[in-house]
Amino acid sequence: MTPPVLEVRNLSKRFPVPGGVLTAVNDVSFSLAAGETLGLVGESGSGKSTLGRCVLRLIAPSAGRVVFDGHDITDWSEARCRKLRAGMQMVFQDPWSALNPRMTARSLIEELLALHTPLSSAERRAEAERLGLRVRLPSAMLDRYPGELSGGQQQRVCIARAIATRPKLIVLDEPTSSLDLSVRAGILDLLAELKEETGAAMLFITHDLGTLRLMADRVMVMYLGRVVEEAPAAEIFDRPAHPYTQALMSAHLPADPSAHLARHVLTGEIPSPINLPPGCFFSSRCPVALPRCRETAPPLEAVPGAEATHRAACLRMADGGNRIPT
Amino acid sequence: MSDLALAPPAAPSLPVRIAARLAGIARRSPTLAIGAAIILAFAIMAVFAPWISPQDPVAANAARVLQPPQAGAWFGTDGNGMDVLSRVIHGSLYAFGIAIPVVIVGLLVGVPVGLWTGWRGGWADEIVMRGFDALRVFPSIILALAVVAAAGPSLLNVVLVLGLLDSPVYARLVRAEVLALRGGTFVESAVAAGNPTHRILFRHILPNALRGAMAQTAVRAAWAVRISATLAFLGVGIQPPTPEWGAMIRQGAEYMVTGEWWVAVFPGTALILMVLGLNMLGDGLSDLLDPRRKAAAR
Amino acid sequence: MTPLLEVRDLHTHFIARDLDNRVRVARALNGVSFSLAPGRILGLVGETGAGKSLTALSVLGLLKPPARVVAGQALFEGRDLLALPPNELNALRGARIGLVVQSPKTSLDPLARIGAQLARVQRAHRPGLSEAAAQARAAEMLAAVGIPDPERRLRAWPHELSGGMAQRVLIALALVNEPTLLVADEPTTGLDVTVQAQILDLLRGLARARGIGAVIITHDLGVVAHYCDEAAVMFAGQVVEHGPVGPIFAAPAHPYTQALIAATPERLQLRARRPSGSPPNLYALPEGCLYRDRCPRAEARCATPPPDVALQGGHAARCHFAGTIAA
Repeated sequence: MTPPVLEVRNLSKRFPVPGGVLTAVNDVSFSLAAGETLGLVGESGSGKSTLGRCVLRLIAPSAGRVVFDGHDITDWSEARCRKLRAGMQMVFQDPWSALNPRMTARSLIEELLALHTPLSSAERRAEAERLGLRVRLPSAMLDRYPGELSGGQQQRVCIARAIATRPKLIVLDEPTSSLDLSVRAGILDLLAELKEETGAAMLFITHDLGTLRLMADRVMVMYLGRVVEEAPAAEIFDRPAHPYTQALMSAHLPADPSAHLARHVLTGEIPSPINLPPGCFFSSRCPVALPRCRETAPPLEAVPGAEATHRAACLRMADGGNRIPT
Repeated sequence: MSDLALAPPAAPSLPVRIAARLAGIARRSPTLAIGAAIILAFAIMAVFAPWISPQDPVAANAARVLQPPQAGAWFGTDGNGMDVLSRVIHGSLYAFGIAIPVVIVGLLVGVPVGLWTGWRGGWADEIVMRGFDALRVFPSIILALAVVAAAGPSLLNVVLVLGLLDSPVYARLVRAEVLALRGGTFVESAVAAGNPTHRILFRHILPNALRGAMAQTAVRAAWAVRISATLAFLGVGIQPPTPEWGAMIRQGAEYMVTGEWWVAVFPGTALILMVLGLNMLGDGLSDLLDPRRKAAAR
Repeated sequence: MTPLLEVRDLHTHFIARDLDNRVRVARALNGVSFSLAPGRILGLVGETGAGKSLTALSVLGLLKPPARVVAGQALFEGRDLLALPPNELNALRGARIGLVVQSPKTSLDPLARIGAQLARVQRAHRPGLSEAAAQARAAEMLAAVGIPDPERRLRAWPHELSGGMAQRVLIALALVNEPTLLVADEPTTGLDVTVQAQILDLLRGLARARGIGAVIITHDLGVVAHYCDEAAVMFAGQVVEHGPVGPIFAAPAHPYTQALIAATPERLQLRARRPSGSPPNLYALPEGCLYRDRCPRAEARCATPPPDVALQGGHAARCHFAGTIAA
């Protein structure tokens, strides 16, 4: 069996803030194989973007290990990580702010080739044209500045940059969230094609479950820095085990007035991510929480009666009380 | 159809297009247009000074000392019998000759310092910025006086001292932009792409951090003209008989009491006009370069 | 029944001069028409630049230059808002018409406590009201929008509120003077989905309980499908389809609505053929149907302006082929 492209073990990231320590990512472990797409879903403050940046060593983790392509890069300096950056790329949420406004689309794409390949300038030019075509940007668009491109076209430039060096890992941080519906569809098409074509492992970060259903092979749900559930995509959509996952899915509004909504309206306050309480972080809003949920942090363990790859962190799984009654 | 009137007309010739663009800018910012016109006039005067001056500006003529304005000497003559008009015209050459190098020296020193301190942050940034604060507590004219007096009153010294004194202005503007950009997504995206630090600084941050500093150049040039004239007036700057406006005003000041007003008033007027023009140009430029205004105009 | 709000053929243009001193006109709204009955909730839906928010600003007289209403009417309880003098419009806004804007955090006065802001908006429209009565009513309103411990929250500062709480306070502000019309511009954008449902439940519950007619402006078709009675779909400054929510989602009649619904994550088929998504250039809109360039159905006659074709049950679409094409 080939080793995973990415292996993350017990990763934590804490930020010092006035009045305490903000724990953005709390003891997260997972691995990602070549060609696999892992969907990372959570709401604001769940730590999903911080996790994505730790994995690429754009920020340094506080604890745990990040092993990329066999290299433990946890403690590497930025200069040392730079040599691996050709192999790990990122696509950002807001393409407008992710592109240098004073460089043309062409020079933005060629930059990656200039940094990581021995290509001559003529070869780079040809390769940038090819990449532009691949992401369906007509070559006339390549000579424009980001401000002269639409949001969808800007995101295509970002994607062309991310695939230019044929990376083994691409982190996509909400790549379609800032785009309009009809533009989003085209970008998702493109990403699905590239997923098959490049064989790159993808970490797809989003708050939108609908997008994950289209893209992800496996899904990990985060809440306040912890992974609360992890399962193959089909499994998690069919049988969400953690009460938070169930609430998240029920809150999604399908664009169909006749669709039945199994609404689990949550009450209670979201705890402050600074100096988090003991026990399960979701217990303050959880409809099925018991007193012991506020004391004991639940481990991530196999969901009873499901495949071993389906794991969740909920004490009530033992007595079957984890399902929110409808 | 009213729409037809709005359709762009068939491509007009280049001079027409340039004129239209200038008219558009003038309508949007009359300040800018007036300032630019004044500075353009002085620039033409400076470039063609040797040809449009009726006399040699430093040719003394004992036979015609302190002549009032008259035909053949429109601005009169000074105490050495030199033609004031020719001296005022040549003075514009010195005004630009000081203002432009002072701005360049200021940018060359201030921009890299601002770039580095903004990027680096931490104690280095603190030390440099506190140093700049200390520098700004002193009135710049006193500092300039002291340094020029110590280093000697040559054109080169005046330029270097004024440029250095003014560099904190650019450093602060650039530093503020760098601080804002440093945490921004496209810098993070440049890091994720694998750019080395120097490329991030010079290729990605610098071009986006210059707007504020560039918008200030005209106003800072006005400052340089004013301060260098003051230094010359006080006798520590450029020395007579060099046709520098400040030095000319100093010479002329002695004659004001005895009624020979023209020796000081004409260079004084030129100085005021030039400083006013540069300030108007600067204000207009920063209005036009202000991103909020630009967005609103779209 | 007379409509509460009826917008007729609203045109709003951005008129400015460019750097070359030529007049440039962006035709942002090109004949927006819709109507809202009392007690109903209308979803005004569309993508970026379709003119949703601009419609609300135009109707409420909140446009800033260079934007200008150039034609149209907006009848509120029979009076044309666009023809009212500014002081009369001011008297309506905040009193008979409530407005909930997009960004809760920046829409509250950071230098005033929540209670003071709620009292201020009441006393602005009812000068005789005592401060104590206004504060009491403010507490009542906070309770009504589901804020726990309202008496204490009156003394809270805006920065102490979470995004969801701030949005509730804005709703309280909009409703405190018992308006008959509520305009909510993207009331849940930026909130987490689990919070969004709570806010929308609240908004709908309050509108129903008080018989308020509401316009919810959103880009989220899910919000329209589950919280609105009627929908008006906007494209390029026109309402291209409007009617009761059920038929619009079950049998969309305009090709744009069809494309939009097909692009929602639940319905999206990857690698399906779909129209490309560049919005039309508002400076040079084509004659005839504005969707023509993207429409897979476009024919020669689409070069003439399409009529608003009435279908069954108040459902209508602005398309030459309305009623003849299946979704």
